Amino acid sequence: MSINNLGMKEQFTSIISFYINKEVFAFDTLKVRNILEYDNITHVPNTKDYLLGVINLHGNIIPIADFRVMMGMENIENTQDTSIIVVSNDGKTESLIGIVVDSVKEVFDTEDINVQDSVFHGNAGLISAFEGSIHKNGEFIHIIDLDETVQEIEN
Amino acid sequence: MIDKFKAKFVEESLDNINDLEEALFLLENDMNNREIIERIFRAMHSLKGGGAMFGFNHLSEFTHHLETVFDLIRNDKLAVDNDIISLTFEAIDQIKHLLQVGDVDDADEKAHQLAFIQRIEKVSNTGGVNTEAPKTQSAVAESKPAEEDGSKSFLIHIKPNDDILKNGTNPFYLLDDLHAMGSAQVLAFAKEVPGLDQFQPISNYCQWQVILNTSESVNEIKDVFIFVEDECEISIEPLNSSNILNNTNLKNLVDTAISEQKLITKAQLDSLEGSSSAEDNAPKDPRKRTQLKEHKISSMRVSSVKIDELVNLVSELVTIQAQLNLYAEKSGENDIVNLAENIQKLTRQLRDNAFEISLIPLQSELMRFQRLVRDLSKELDKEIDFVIEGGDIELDKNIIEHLTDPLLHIIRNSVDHGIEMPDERIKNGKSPKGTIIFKAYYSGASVIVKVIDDGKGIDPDFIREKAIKKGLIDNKTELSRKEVFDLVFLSGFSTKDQVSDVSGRGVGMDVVKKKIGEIRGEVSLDSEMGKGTTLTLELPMTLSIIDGLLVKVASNQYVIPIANIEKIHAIDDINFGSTFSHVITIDDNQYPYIDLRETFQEEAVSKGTEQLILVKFEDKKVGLLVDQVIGEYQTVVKALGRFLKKQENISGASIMGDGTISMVIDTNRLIHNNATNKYKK
Repeated sequence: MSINNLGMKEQFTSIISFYINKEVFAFDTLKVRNILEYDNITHVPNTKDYLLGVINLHGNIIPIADFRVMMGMENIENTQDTSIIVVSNDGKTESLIGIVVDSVKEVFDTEDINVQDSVFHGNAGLISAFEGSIHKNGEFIHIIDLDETVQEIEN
Repeated sequence: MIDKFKAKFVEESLDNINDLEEALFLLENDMNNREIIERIFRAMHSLKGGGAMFGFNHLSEFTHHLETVFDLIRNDKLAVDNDIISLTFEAIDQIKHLLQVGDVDDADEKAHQLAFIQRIEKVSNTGGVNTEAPKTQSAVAESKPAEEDGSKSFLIHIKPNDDILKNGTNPFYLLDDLHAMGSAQVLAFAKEVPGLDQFQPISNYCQWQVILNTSESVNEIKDVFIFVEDECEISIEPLNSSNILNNTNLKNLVDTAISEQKLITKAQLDSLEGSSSAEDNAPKDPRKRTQLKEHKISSMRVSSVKIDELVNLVSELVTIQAQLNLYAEKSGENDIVNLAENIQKLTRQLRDNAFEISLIPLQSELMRFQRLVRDLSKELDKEIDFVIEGGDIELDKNIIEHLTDPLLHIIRNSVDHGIEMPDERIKNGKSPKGTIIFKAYYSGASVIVKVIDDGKGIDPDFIREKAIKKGLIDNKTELSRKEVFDLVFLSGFSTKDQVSDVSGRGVGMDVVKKKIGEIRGEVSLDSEMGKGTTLTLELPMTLSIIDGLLVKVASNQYVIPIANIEKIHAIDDINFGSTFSHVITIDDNQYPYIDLRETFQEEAVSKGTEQLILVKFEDKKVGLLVDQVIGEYQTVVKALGRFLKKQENISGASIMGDGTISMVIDTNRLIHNNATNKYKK
């Protein structure tokens, strides 16, 4: 990996945070395309259990992955707050994927906030790569490395 | 065949000439730019080479001299100046002209060209341009300009029958068509038109004479009348004079003929030639005419990106149109229903049209295969005839792109493993020359491509043993002959024990199968020992839009391609009473069936009103059990994308009129996956 690439990784200016099983996680805002209600997912048979199916987003077929399942959460319940965050790790439409989370929390700037190395030690299931953690208002927010996660889903 | 190549050459040369002209314009502003000079040289070189190859010898020779000039420039032996550029421009016009007429053995033409060549040679010999053309020759060349463009004059007489108008034919269109072929003088004869009291508006009373000057052939002129042959008296007489319309005396003759309403005869026109005064007319520069003619473009190149975009847009339109239909049906308003129907009709036409545009003939790829067979057989000391049938079959360009590599592999296999050495062939009582037949034809909505060789064939027992050795099957597994041959397509199977340089580098037929599968095609193999091997590819004609049957399995909707469907049966519990090991009896026939609810791991909703859809699978019929058949549906298939590409039973998804999504089932894969459970892998 080139230095430039390494540099790019740290360069998010704002993040969008969300809850999964009462833990707070986050994506780089620039990777997020849409936030949708959890609704109308068409099941695709014979796929991994965390792939819930596909949705129609403006004429594009977008696959949906349930992070709650990926993180090994049990007793999954869909509520009014359950949302789909549509992200693309490389900005291409063909890479769009919807991520199901318990609820979306907030968007905030990270420029003045110190991003520490992630010391996440809980059981995060299939999601193992993090770009760092932020300590804010007594909470730890773990920023998920989307490139790694997408690769995990693809394989 | 050769005409086709010629046409292609002309088309390509026009591109080259365009490039040449463009480069010349650039050179004019930047006379020492080596890059531009190289570009000009290259364009000339391809014109020269192509010309010689396709029988445009004059063109080739002419361009050769021009090329020499630029070769000198390229090597710094000559400096570019305005005169050279002007001369080159003039020469380009001549090249265009030569491209249009081909090789003509006309003395004037030759003299003109020779004069031109001399001018060019002067440049390359002396390093300067003599702008004055050798007078005598250019004079000769210009005295008979009309013949240079190969045009001829005809006297055409059209006498329609009385009732021609009843068929809706408008004779004026014929005159328009003739006009479009060149320059024409039309004479109308209307003296038979009766007085108003006897006039029948639906009867024809007129006839026409047309003096036409055109470079088209008599047959082209006849084609104008192709639909009215039986309703008209037509006579087409070639005239001696090449372009009589330039004759000043013609006007008098035409004027008298019209005022007297007397038909002109060929003899009159031919005798007119005697008093011809072509010199008085400013002779049209033949090359100017050539430039004009170029505007009749019969085909054009469009970037494939644009075509993809067009097809995408049409696909979107089809989806939206389905929404409109749904809305119209719901509203029940007659006006909007009619409107929706009309839009549906138009959309369908547009769809067909757009897809036709993206089809290209297989021919475009066949040359590569021919080369491959030729080169490879030379290398291996084998003698092979490569026979092509159905090269004009057209396929979606995306399919052809995906097809080339697998086909190269298959043909390579045939040459390398299939066809034996000549002495071995003689020993087996075959002709020493082997044959590989490449055959393509339409079959329903699919295209079948076969590669047939008459080589040594493949021994089924050998395949079986090898599959057992490789652990692909048990030695107890019972396999039909077809299933044995299918083993070849499993990964890790390569029949040649020694890896040869030509084929079988570890990647084998499994890759071919995968590649063909990517474009929703199927591949199968059949072989007879000592007689040869046949590989059959079944391909869809287009990738993105299919006619499908919409069905319901549990709460989800699925689309089954109609091309694969044989029959639909309603099934009740009684039929199931006798099912055993997924075989069902219908109309005294037994069919294996696949319960889609089971395959897709859905809860069975009901077991009362189910439908069994019989689909073709290779040479068998297999039933697919679904909850409900909804109806026929025209679907735009969208890829499931990178995250779901491993899903084998589904080939894509389709967005319905109401915005919901249906999965498109790949029946071949589905059945195949079900059937191959008996293999270990």
